[in-house]
Amino acid sequence: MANSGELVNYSLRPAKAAERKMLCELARRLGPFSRVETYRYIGFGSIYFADFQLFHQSLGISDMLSIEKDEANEARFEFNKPFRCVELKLGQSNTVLPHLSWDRRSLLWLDYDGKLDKSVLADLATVCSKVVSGSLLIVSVNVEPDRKPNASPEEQDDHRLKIFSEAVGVEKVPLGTARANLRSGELAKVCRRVINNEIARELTIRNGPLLDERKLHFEQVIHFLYADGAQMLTIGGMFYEERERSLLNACGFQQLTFVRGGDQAFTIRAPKLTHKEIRYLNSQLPRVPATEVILSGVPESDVQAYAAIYRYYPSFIEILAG
Amino acid sequence: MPDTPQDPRQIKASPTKEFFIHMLVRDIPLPRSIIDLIDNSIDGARRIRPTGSFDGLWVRLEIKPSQFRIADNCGGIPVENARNYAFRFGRPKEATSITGSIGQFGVGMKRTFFKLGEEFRVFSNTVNSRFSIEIKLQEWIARYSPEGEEDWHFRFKTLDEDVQVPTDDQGTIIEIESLHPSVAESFGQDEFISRLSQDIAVAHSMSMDRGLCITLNGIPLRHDPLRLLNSTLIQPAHVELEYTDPGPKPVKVNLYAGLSERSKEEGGWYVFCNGRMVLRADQTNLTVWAEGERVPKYHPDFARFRGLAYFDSDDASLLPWTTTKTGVDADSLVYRAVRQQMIEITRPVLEFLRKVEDERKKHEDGDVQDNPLARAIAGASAAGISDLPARSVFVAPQPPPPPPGPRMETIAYKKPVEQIDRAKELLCVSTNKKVGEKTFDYYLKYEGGADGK
Repeated sequence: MANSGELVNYSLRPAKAAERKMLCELARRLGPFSRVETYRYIGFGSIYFADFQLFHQSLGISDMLSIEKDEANEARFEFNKPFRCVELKLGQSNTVLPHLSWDRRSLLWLDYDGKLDKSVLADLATVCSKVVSGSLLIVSVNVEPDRKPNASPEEQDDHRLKIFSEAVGVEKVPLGTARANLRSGELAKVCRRVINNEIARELTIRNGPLLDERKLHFEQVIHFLYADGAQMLTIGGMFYEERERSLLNACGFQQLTFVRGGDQAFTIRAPKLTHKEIRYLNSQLPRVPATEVILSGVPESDVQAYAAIYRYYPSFIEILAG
Repeated sequence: MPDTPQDPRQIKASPTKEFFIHMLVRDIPLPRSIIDLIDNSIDGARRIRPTGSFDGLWVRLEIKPSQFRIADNCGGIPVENARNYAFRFGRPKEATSITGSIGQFGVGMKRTFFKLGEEFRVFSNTVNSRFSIEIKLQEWIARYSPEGEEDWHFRFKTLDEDVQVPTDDQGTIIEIESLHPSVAESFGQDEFISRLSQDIAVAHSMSMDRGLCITLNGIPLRHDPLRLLNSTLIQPAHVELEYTDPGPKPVKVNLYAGLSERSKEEGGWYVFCNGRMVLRADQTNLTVWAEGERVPKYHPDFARFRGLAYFDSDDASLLPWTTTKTGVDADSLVYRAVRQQMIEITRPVLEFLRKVEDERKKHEDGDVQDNPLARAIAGASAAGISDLPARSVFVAPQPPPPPPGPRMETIAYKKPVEQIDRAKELLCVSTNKKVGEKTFDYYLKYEGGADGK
């Protein structure tokens, strides 16, 4: 698998950049559990550490841990650490996660380059068996369907089912998953289900012998779909003990426009716009309904896509300077 | 059975004695049924010494083809207990339980009787009572009440209550005779006796550690206490858990994961319930092995791995053991939750052992000069687990970073000896390794373009 950190600077991926800002805004609301600056951030910083920069600067989180699988380039990762408080742990997430002590509330972003597979599910199992109440877990995976060259549609379907079953394990493929469910636009739904199933399974085991008030639940709040290149799926949610349910409610995640608790995704699309167009659109925003925002010459769908994420739309000048 | 008039709508569902005897003895191996009797002795020891040492307490087994005899000085069976509970089939809910007992199913003693033979005698003296019971199985089976129902009761042969019994006389003796032919045969085999002694030593290692002396045919049993390597560099994980939901008494769990001596057979997970070992050196998915991407199958590279899981509860029925105490109940909610944690504390240990193996290979091949991981293991000493502090993750040194320079890989291929010898001549080298390197360099130099080195 190519190391996507080497291919492209994440901060130049507009949808990704918008996603990052939205997650930051989400994390800002963790206060009812604990002041957000007391959280620990665990992520895959790559050499750009864009998420680390944002979460340290905007949230004040200073207990930061970056998991980096490319052990041969340690010096380069060390050099690129944006702040002194970023700790680097070399190794696959599979080997690093079981080494961590999980005694404090965490903000985890497992931002995988690759597709959903057994290794991702193993990480989820580890997190679910260890994580404490009040932690926020974000998982991003590539959900671009596999393409077998020169294959008929039927062969393509068979191929995809085989690849997917091998990747996640036959027993994790939800009963009733038809070949058509693994096509473009559909695969993300199956992946989301497999991710949620895995989380639910591990929590059920963990909760078995616990008092009701100590049982740990997972509440999905993030369901993003976006494509800067390949189609990506991000699922995120809060772990909370039953006795802290009121804290979860106090966070008010539902007031954020991009929060999605169910199977309907919030699609992030960052249209290509000039700075002049952006300033003009901004002068009309916020506005409800957003359909009243107009800009002649730019497709209506682009205007609407922009209006949905205008607060998070990346300004490259700002990022390059950051 | 005599015909008695009865309600025509009533359907008989009561068990017969024969059915009970048959079902009870079916699933338990002979050595395990003997260990069950020792469980009763140890429950007695716990009753008189709830905490602290078992020094001075003993259990003596005499096993011969003609007779089985177990004697202990562990306090005896209280008369009230014998009258209402100890000989019942199954333990009634209201039975007073011994704190941290191991005999919670109420089947152990009877099952062993039936498994071994047809005549049983029990003598028991407590601080203030003496009783004896004598049972001949065939007579008991044939006994009916005046109403024509099966009579399940046993009877005291002698019974003295409110007496003073000297400390030296307090204890229980059980004798079983008219042994079943297959049992008598086993009891005559040295190999059986020897294996039984090992099984007992393993199952009751913790009670023996507390000072209980168990002898078999006059020979004191020994065991090696489980120890884990401990040093400043290598420290076992120790996780403490407590579950209060399953019942009124909490289930306390102590998990340890670390290293010990290299032994393919002894490597694995050990599970104890109230001090009784119920799973020994497990290398299957019942504990943690072959758990998808998280834990691989057990492998000789992991021969140093030891995982220890201790489940303790004052209410023994909450513990995850099977009725034969020969395994864990994989469906127990407590066990499933604990197993999740066992999996996670196992992983860093296995990761370290893989690196040790990797280092060993490189060291043998001469690729690295030093072997700090092996030295760290050699420098750690085996320590008892009682002193280990809580530590959520196994501690071990990391291998040194690979030497600077490009990443290296190995190429291996076969060629006829004659051709290799010819190449050696041409290249003026003496080893196959050099032939490989020189020919590779030669090719890259002339075909590798500007980068060819």
